[in-house]
Amino acid sequence: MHELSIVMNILDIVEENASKNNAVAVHEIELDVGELAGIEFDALGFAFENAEKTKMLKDVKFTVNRITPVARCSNCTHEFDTSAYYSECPRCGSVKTTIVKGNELKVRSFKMD
Amino acid sequence: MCTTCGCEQTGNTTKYTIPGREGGHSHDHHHGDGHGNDHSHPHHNEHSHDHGHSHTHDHPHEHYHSHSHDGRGSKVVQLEQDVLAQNNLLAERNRGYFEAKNIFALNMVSSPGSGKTTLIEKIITGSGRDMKFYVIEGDQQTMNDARRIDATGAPVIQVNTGSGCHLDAGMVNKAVKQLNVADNSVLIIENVGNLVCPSMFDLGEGRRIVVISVTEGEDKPLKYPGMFHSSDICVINKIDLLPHLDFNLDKCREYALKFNHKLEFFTVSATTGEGMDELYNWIGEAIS
Repeated sequence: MHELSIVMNILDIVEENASKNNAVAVHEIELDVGELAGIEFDALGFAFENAEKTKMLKDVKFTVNRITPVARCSNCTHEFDTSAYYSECPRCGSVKTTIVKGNELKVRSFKMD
Repeated sequence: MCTTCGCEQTGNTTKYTIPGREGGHSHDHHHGDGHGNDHSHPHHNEHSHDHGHSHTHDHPHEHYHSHSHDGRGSKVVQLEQDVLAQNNLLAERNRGYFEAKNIFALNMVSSPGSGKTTLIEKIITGSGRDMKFYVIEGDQQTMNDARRIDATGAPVIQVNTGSGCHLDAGMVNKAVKQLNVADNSVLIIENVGNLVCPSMFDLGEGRRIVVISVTEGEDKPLKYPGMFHSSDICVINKIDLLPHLDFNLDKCREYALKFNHKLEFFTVSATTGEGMDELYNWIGEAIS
């Protein structure tokens, strides 16, 4: 449900930076979103379609780079792909693992005229 | 639609109200429209408000093309900007302010109905210590919780988020300014009842407390790991009801610790006061 306010933030960030670059229109926004960023991907898409947009952003499309989370084992330093906050190390079985990637929520780039 | 001035807008509307001062008209409109006017309406060039003033906005009327005609092609701007950067920046400003004034700020999160407001009432009235409490109440609608806190004598401000499902650092920043929080006090922020969205939004708090009640089922941490992952303290509430329920306290703790092995626990009944002494002690030590 917070995806709409996230989208509003994204549009503000892009608008501000596009204005600095003297853009007349922005065509595409590229996002990096980790699977543990607390974002529902479908809801993000829905919010993007329906968010109120300024003239500069009215035809904007967006692409999402979905980032698979990676955890590191504090016991044996092994790094492995995961899909949850809690996962056992597949090499040594330790549960002392920390998420090192997969929380991202970033505007990577945008394409403008 | 804003219920105070009747203006139409599609973004979030946030209202800040102190009990006894309900007549005031203080709210924000976030449209994401790039011009920082509190009463900006991108689709209407002219409109009037119920409270008797009208104004006109000038909008540029250039015709923007969404594609390039001159063969230059589009330019790609690399940004690499965190979407929550603005919130996190404001949260750090709040945190610095709290630290400078020795305000112990608690961000209390839970699902609706876990007993957050009762717990706050109990903390304020039951500690028997000389501590000053201030409260920010977050709810989508109504002044109900603020009135309950107001009855305890603690200064309180209600933040109504409208359609918003969480508080953010900017709301806390505005609320704190209106609340005039004194030095060496405890600021309790009761977040909107929601175990999902508030986990993403740092408010600048000193500690985040997730409240779970024994009526909710011991597997709540498994179902909503994000909130338990991001909290410092877990208060298990309504333990006076344990004899009537099939709720395993140890299992609940074990599940929560899976996602956050640093989590500290308090098991309490805000209604009977059982277990509250430990919580009072912990708060007392934090601000001494």
